[in-house]
Amino acid sequence: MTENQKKILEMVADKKITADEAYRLLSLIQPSSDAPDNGIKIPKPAPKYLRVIVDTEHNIEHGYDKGPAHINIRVPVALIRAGVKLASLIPPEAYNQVDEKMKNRGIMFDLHNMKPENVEELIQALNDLQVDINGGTEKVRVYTE
Amino acid sequence: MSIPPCLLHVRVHNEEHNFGIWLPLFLAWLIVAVLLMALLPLFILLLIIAFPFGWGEFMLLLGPRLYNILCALRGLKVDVDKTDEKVEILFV
Repeated sequence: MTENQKKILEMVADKKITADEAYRLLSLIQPSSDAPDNGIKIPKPAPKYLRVIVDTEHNIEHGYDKGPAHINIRVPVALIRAGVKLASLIPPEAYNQVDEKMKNRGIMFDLHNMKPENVEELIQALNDLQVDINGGTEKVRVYTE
Repeated sequence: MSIPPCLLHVRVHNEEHNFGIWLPLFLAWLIVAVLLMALLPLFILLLIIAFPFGWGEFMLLLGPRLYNILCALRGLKVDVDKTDEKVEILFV
């Protein structure tokens, strides 16, 4: 129980506020009550790996069904960081061509927005990322660890 | 200072083969380092030529960025498990 919650309960006990008011106040301070007592929220450590797991029941090779397949890829986050930094070297003329080709394939992704200074933000955002795609015979899971 | 992966572990298991091999990548890096040292004068010459055309910065930064990519490969693991074949690749 935090100091704020204690104070609210004391105010109810002293009949300074009603139960309804206490409930409203408690619900307002609820988010901070999840944080440690000093009120400082400890950030999650940055993820180290991006995990991509693909499970398929039908592995079609040369027109033949070779049965189920399981693919598990562990990509170091440092590789993503290094990749984005390398991509920043691409000349602007090449950017436009890449964007156009990606749009032609239905991928709406603007490489201009991918800058090295945004990488850390992107990696931190990956922390909360979990993608689960269940497509009947195929399952894809993407998450960080 | 980060260093590139020193070993590459490849495991293959299928009807014909069943083996696991540790490839000493550090030996390859030594050969690459010697080659790069030998090509350094040529690279400097190319850099001097490329700078007036606006490609100098690109060429100058390309080497370190590629080195970063190599270093970041450490820990990359790929597992493919099929009914009749299993392949595992790990950079250490």
